[in-house]
Amino acid sequence: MADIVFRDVRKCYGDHEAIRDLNLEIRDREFFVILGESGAGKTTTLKMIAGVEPVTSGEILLNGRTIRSLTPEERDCAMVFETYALYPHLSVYENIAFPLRAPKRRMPADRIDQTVLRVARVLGIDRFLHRRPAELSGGQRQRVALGRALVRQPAVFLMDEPLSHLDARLRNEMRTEIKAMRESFGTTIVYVTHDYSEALALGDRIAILHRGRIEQVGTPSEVFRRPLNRLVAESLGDPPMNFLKGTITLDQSQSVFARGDWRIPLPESLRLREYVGKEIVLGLRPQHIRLERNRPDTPYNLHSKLFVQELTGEHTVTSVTVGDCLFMALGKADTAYSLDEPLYLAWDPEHMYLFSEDTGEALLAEGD
Amino acid sequence: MMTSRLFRRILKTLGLGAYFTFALGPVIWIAMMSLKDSNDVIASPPKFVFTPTLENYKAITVGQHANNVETVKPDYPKYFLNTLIIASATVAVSLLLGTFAAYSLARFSFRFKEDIAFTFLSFRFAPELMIILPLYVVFQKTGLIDSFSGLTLAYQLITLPFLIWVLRGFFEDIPREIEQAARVDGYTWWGVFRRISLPLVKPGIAAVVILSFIFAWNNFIFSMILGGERTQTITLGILGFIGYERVLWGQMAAATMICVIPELILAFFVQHYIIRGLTFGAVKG
Amino acid sequence: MAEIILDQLSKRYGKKHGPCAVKDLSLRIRDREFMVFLGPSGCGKTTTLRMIAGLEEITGGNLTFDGKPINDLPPQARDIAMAFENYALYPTLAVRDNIEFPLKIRRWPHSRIDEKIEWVAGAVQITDILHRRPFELSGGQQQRVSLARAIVREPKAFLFDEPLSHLDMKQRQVMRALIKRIHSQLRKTTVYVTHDQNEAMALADRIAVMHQAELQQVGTPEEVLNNPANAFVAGFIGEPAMNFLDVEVGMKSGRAAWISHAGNRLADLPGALDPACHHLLSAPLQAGIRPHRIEFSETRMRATDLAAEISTYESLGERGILTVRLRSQDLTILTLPEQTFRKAQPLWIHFPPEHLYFFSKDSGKRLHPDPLDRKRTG
Repeated sequence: MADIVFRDVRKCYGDHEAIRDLNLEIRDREFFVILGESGAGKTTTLKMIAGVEPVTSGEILLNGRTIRSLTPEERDCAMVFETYALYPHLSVYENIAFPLRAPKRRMPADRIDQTVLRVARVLGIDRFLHRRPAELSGGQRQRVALGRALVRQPAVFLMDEPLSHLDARLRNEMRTEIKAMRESFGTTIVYVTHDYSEALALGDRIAILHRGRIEQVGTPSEVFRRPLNRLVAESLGDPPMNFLKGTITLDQSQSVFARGDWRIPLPESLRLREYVGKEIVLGLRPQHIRLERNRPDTPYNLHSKLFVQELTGEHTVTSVTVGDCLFMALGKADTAYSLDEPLYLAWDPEHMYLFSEDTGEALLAEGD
Repeated sequence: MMTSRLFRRILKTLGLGAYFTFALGPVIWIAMMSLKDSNDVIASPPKFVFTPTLENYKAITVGQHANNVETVKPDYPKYFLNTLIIASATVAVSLLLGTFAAYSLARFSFRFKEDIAFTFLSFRFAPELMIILPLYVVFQKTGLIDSFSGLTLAYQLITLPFLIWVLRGFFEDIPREIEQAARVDGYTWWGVFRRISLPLVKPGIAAVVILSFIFAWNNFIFSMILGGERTQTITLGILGFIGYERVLWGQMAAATMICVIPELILAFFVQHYIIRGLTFGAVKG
Repeated sequence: MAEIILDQLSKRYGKKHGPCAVKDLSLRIRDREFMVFLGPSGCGKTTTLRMIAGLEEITGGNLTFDGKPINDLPPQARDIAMAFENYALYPTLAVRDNIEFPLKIRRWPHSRIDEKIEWVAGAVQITDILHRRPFELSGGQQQRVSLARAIVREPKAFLFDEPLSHLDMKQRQVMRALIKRIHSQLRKTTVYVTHDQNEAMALADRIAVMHQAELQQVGTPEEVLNNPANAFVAGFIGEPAMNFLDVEVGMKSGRAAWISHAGNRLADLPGALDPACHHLLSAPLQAGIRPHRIEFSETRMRATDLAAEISTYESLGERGILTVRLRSQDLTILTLPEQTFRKAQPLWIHFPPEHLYFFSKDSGKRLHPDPLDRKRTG
């Protein structure tokens, strides 16, 4: 039972501002994911909750009460570290039992034994209990690190990229496992990752963190379909969203996206009117782009040349050059094009995104 | 191909052989001397074939005298004990102070941290003779001269900086996140230090314990000037075998051999940890 | 023009009977082909590449370029170019000098060098950073320079050792497209090592799948995906990974009639079963099916449908992954996005027989001929 509130939290390392004015509410029993590239301040945020990194200014509230004066051991968080941070001189068993032996818990030996064995069995590491961390593979170490967090019933689970060092196969398996375990936790989980598909798969809500600042907080479908700005749009999707710069002009009182000779009509909105004459960026997701040899009869199209075509599993990633930009389109593997063949990109107007060139702010998102 | 490999092996063997002769030769020479009787010891050219005797060892430990040669009063056991007390106390005090100092220098940030660390190290730069005279004056005024506590204190100048410097490196090598993880797991600072940090620097502690002990055991100049009759150490004791009329070569050699024993025993027990220390990096999660 | 033939190539470290890093690898890399070595870490793919490059001594077998044995030829005499995982740029030289380096060593005339640099800088899109030093560049830019240096002297063959593994997702996409385009323009024999199956699929003409020092299968991306030679290849390629079930063959009036799992019939075998595979059916068998091929419904549609229970559902934006529990085993099913499922909801699972693969449980080999012989479409 725990809700966490960040109020104007700042964190500085010397002159470097790692976290700027962080305001965030994480609800009780929520699976909350913080998504961002490396150096965005994700780990710092977790460590501030755990109490192993001091907050420079602002407050963190746990269940409405400030935790500034609480030491890490008083905060009752369990944390999985990206580096695993296993105790190298202790066996796997002792690593997992370590939190249970803490002075304030004083669990009797037979209960420790039961709990460790149960958790080890769930994670499939019961065969390695006597080994030292150095004798384990990366995946096994990751499980031990998870196990050490799972033996407790903390108020908050903090997970720092718990799957990042696993190969693709194991990562998929463990992600499913975490999702499955999640229901039995019954506690608040704050989960940090740089992998957008992990964030979408696991999170009840996702916060996108960029250079110490929160760009957007929302459910997976909100942030995916209605990003607040270009950064958010770019960080969700593989291949990422394609962007094309241009300006908004008025063409017979209809606002259009213009670049060179291209004219793409835009839906009527008061918002877009304010941007007439200004630089904007058009955004298209690779899976929303259709490729056609002949000029499509929709005004929502661009002229391009084939750069290269790649098959990935069931999909084809087709790269095309639009002016001097590289666009990627995702589609079924059916047509083969030749190098530098002229192609038209076409899309449905509801799949079009527009961003301000200056601020990156989203002017138009899916469904507008 | 084959011949060059063989050639390299021969070269390696020869090189190692030469080094061992150079390093171990004197030791073997002394060991042989300690087993010779007083005539064989001074024989010229030196004898390589002789009847070994334990007379010298007897003479310095229980004071039996043989062949009408006057016996030096066997003070040797006392010197041995003195040195054992002083060296052990020195290591214990250094370890107690140094471990915490090293941890603080490795983990906490405070003003003048690097300056303090450097000052500790600089104690090792000055030749002992430079500080010994002022120290002598201070010791005389405070009555620390010829006392066990005084010598233990003086020896800190040799062992403490060394211990702090080495252990600091070992503490710095422990990933910070391991300690943070233990804090989150519910342990206080002291609990983490005792259960995680300290066990992880065991190899470092083993190495500094043995080296500090050797430094203290073998020290000559401090014990010569700041010591006295009551606290006479083994290094000075060995010098005592050089008398006015004659040098008791055989007994001196025997005393030297016995002198090495504690260091060998310590090295033997601690070796296990030092070897692990060298592979410590592989353990890190 | 370069055809590279690996004939029983082996690499053993240390003792004569020690473990092999690469074991009896025979493979013909055709002229102009883009060959990708794919496998988990430690499978021997990089060692193989390094043997081809001449950076690693060959301890068994023969390596020939265009019919000429080159086992003992030093790397510089093999006329190949290699791009490394960590770029390996000369840190003190500007980008331009880095690229010129292999040409200057070969004493090319200045005019030809300039012309070549201009071409290559355009091809990998680094024209505007030619004067900079490597440490001023991002990872993606460094990898472009490394690529430029490899292609500039037009060697017989290109070797790539996980060149994209240190780049972020977006850079990786762009570089992958660039490498593929350069290959389709220059058409030089290329050997490329990766552990990322998407990269392999996207780039390769043919993929050589390796595991535990041995070659498992060689084929076009479609072949290794749709026609895996053994259970390892089937499980390694394709995402999410293929599901495997222990199955038995049910006999009816002397012929194999159905497949069952833990006593429950899960698929009927079609009438005409190749008699050649009868003997294979008596050994323990494993059936495999890809996650997107499993069908499910809330009501029982056929006699062979099996009851399962939903354990988790993950929505991944463009698709969803459903995990169900079938007896004591988890199955992964790929679904459309935006479907709603309840935990513990019962579900009927159907395994379309035409999408089942069969493997021997002991050797992992795919049954051959396939008991349900048909054209595979994935």
